[in-house]
Amino acid sequence: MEKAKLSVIQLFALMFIFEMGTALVVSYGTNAGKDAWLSILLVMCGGIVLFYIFYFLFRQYPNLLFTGYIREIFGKYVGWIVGLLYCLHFMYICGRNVRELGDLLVSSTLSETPLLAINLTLVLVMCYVIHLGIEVVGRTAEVFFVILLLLGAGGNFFVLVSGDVDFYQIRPFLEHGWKPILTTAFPHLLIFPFGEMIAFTMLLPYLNRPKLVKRAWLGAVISSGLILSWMFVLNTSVLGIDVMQRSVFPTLTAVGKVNLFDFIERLDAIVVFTLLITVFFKASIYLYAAVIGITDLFKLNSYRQILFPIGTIVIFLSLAMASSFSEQGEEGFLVQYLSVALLIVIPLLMLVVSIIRNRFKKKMN
Amino acid sequence: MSQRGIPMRHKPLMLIVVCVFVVLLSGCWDREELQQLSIVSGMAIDKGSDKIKNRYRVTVQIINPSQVSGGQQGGKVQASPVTTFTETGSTLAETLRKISTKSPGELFFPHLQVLVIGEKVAKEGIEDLFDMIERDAQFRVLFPVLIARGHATAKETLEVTTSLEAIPSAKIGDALKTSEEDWGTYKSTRADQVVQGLKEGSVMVTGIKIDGETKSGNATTNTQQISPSAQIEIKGVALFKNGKLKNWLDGHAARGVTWVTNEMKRTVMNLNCGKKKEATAIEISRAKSSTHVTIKHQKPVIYITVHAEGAVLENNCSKDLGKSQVLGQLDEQLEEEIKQEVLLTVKKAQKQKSDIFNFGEQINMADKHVWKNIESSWEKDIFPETEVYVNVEAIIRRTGMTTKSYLNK
Repeated sequence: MEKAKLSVIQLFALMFIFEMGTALVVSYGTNAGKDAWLSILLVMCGGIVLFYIFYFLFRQYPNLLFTGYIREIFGKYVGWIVGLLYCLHFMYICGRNVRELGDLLVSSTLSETPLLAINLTLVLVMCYVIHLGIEVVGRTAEVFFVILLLLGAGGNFFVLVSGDVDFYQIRPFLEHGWKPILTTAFPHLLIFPFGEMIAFTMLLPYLNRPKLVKRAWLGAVISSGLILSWMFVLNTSVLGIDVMQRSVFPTLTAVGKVNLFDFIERLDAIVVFTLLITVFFKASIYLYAAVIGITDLFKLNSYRQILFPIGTIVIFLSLAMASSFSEQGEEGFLVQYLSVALLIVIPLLMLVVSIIRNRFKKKMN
Repeated sequence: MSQRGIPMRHKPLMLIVVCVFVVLLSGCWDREELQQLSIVSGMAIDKGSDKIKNRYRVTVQIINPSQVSGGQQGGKVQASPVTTFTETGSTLAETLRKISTKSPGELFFPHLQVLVIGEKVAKEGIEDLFDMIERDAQFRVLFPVLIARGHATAKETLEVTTSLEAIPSAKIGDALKTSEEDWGTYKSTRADQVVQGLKEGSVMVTGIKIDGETKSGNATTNTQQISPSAQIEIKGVALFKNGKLKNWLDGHAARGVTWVTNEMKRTVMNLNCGKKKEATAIEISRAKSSTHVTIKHQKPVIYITVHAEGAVLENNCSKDLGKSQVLGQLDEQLEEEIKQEVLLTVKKAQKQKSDIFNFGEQINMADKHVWKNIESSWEKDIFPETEVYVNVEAIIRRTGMTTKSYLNK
């Protein structure tokens, strides 16, 4: 473990940006039709429940990384293997995020640039920031958090005053009943992005005031849930549910429609920039989690030794994981089952095991 | 930097890396030199010679920047401010790429101002024309779509030169906007609205037509005449059903559409004065309409409410408009006039069995269970039979600079 301290504000900024990452821009929750905003709110509550699981485990082992206390709970060997599984998962998701950003840039703005060039530059910058330490990542996040808020406020303002918004488009309420709302919410939306917060269990020991974790984490979950839900409403009331469901990047399409006085137009850059910022931090956190986890599991001296090799693997993964955008999307749905296990089932199991252990310990005493 | 783990001996290396990055990062795969782009200002799609290999004839209008940018041309011969290239092909994308054999640079679409579709293509179906436009990131879906009406092809319509605006497609776009704002009869349809309409079944698209001799439109000499022998004119609203052009709405029937869809900005309406027909002109300066659906016996009933405010523009009639009672009568006349227009349009749409106003979605909002039952048979069986009530409230606020006209009769 490196010696570093994160402030609560930095942690909140990181978490918030992390949650916004890709979910803000990619087609999110549209299977639930016009009621997806409700799905997102439901899932936000699920995210709060998940938080309490992680929080309980963190309180048990406040000085250990996730990969550390997984070995405490499951035993040395099983815990080690499961821990490695998590590290691989973090690496894979990091690659996915990088790939998603590359795909957006290639299909929207840089149509002739090879994917490799985009992914390579992004991962290089990520490696550089992580090389400087998690504190630097945190401080950078603080700065970009403000920029992100300004971009968001600007984008929202222009869309709202553009006259394209028709809130009636999200009616009727419960168009197809509760079923699609629940099936979309659980498990798909719960994993992405709320379940993904598990990556932060690798950062919590660095907090300078661990007692404030609760505030930062819950604040991030609730604010991002509300914002994601609002963005769905806004996008749908600009595009209509039909375009929304067909669109690959609905926010990009919705913001692209803004045309004020034939003067303020082509605001797509705001969305691309938002995605760039959020994905940069999201992928960085995943990369850091993977690297620090591996360092912990293999008892290395410094995570800097393996940062660049892992970065290279991430670049390779991001290019090789799928041959087309559609394939990548389908793969995402397959990975979902694994994610359910990793992000929900195993933490739950850990919770149960650690409660039972505590009982035994008390009885023994 | 040296404190952060990069030793001094690495400094020269770092310097080289930085220099390389400066070169690499500033470069870009997707750079386009401005002078190498052919900026497309308008696009026209006509029917090709056969059904498979040459399904479409696509024309693009490219701006000639040196002619548009003004400035003295000296003794040079005036070239036309735009030029067009035409190709045929079976898909839009293929045809547009083929044009590169003729055009000097790569076609650049973000500044596309109008898309004109030939009437023949429209009759056969426009469903296939918009996928590429929606899919390609280069296109913005905010440009208006028009249907070239009558015997002139879309290409010819796009090529009519005009004297006040150098670029014909810009002139079409401006004329459309002005007519929409001042005359209120022919609303413009953006490409994204067409796509949505195609998905739902029925859509309306504005018509455009050449007034005069088609042949002489395509020459700069056309603009040298005070009264050009060919002019373009926005005319009619084309009614599409399942992607095919079915019918044209003109005049009052077309204005009814603008009333119902709450897109009326300004227009002028004539009222009768006793026996004198169409004697008083009223300007509608503000209008708002809303649609409300109630369900009666599992059947939808549609209520359309229109609020309009206006002023008297012209009064060829001896009535004293200074009296509020007289104005009150005019209000009622105006209300009746608007109501008739709306009903005329609704009747036409019902006869065509196409729900151009998207009442279906309103029913879905009002009662989703009823909508689910009738959705499949809505346009075919239920919409033509549905009761539509129109309620208009019109108020004439002002009478201009005079009250009573100088006319005595």
